[in-house]
Amino acid sequence: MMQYITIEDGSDFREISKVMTEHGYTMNHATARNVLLGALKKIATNILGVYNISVTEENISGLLKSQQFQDSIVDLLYLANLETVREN
Amino acid sequence: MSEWIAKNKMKLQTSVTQSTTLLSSLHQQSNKNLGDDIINLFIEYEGLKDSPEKTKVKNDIIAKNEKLVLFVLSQYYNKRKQFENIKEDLVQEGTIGLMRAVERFDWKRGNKFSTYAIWWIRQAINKYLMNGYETIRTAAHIVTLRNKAVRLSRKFEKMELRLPTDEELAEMLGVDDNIIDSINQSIKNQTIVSLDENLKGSKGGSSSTEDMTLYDVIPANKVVEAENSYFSKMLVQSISQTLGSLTDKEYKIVMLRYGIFTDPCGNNEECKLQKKE
Repeated sequence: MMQYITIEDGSDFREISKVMTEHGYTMNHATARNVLLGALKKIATNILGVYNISVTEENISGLLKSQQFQDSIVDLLYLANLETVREN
Repeated sequence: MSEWIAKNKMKLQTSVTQSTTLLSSLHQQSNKNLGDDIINLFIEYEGLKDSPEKTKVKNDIIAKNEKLVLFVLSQYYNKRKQFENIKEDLVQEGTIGLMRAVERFDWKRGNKFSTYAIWWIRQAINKYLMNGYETIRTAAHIVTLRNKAVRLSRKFEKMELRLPTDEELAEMLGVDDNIIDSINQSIKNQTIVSLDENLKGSKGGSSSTEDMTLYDVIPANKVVEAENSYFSKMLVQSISQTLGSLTDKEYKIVMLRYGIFTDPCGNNEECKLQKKE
């Protein structure tokens, strides 16, 4: 069953692909989604590493597509981004 | 027996009346003597200037009226269980009040010393209870209002069969709602217990809880908070590191997707110029 995740203040994949194409990264909405999932997979693997939790590929894919995970990742990403900006 | 009583009824009545009169006159006489005795001491006390003799007379008066303190305690304070542990302190404070009464009593007004002294004793005890008895000191006017609130609440409960609300209490006392909050807070402050208090006396306590204190059973919320805070910090650091390892494309898409960072060029001036072209 297809799950759709709602993100407040964010952009949809078509919008993202448009902006990224304008900036030299030619892509369609599906590519934008795949790139995002790839990035989130890296972040999720890292978070699970902090808690010493080992999961299978399937579980990670399920986790990435859950609304709960994406909601919680927003706050953490915001804080992490702030920290990165401060460091730079 | 009843016949004998009937015959001697008159005689018995007369003798009972006589003995009552005799006892009454003796009692009055002794009271008068005692009163005169104390007034004589006060006259002597007033006549003396500051000297060891004056202190001696003052001590005599205090010694003769020591029982007044115990009387006041038995009348007003002994009924409350909370004062059992501090009874000796209350006696001491009451005696200080008695000393002040001796210093200020004016025998020329014709009043009894005990009538005057009782107020000073009560004042000294109340002052001690207001200022020094509670672990967290409460302002005197709040204590007065608190006592009044308790009295009015009891009266209200008897009449309405329920406790008054804060608004009703404020109306009865004629004060603002924030004063009622202060009163409620001061009532909470009264129930302070030591962390070292043994749980042995608590209901349903098993043998394993005999050596436990209140400190042992209080949950350490702050430690959990510290742990959570540590993990949050670790997470943020870890994600921050991961964000650094992402490719430029991935980073921009993540930021665009979550609305954290809407301009993919950031501070890159070349990128901004390209966009304008």
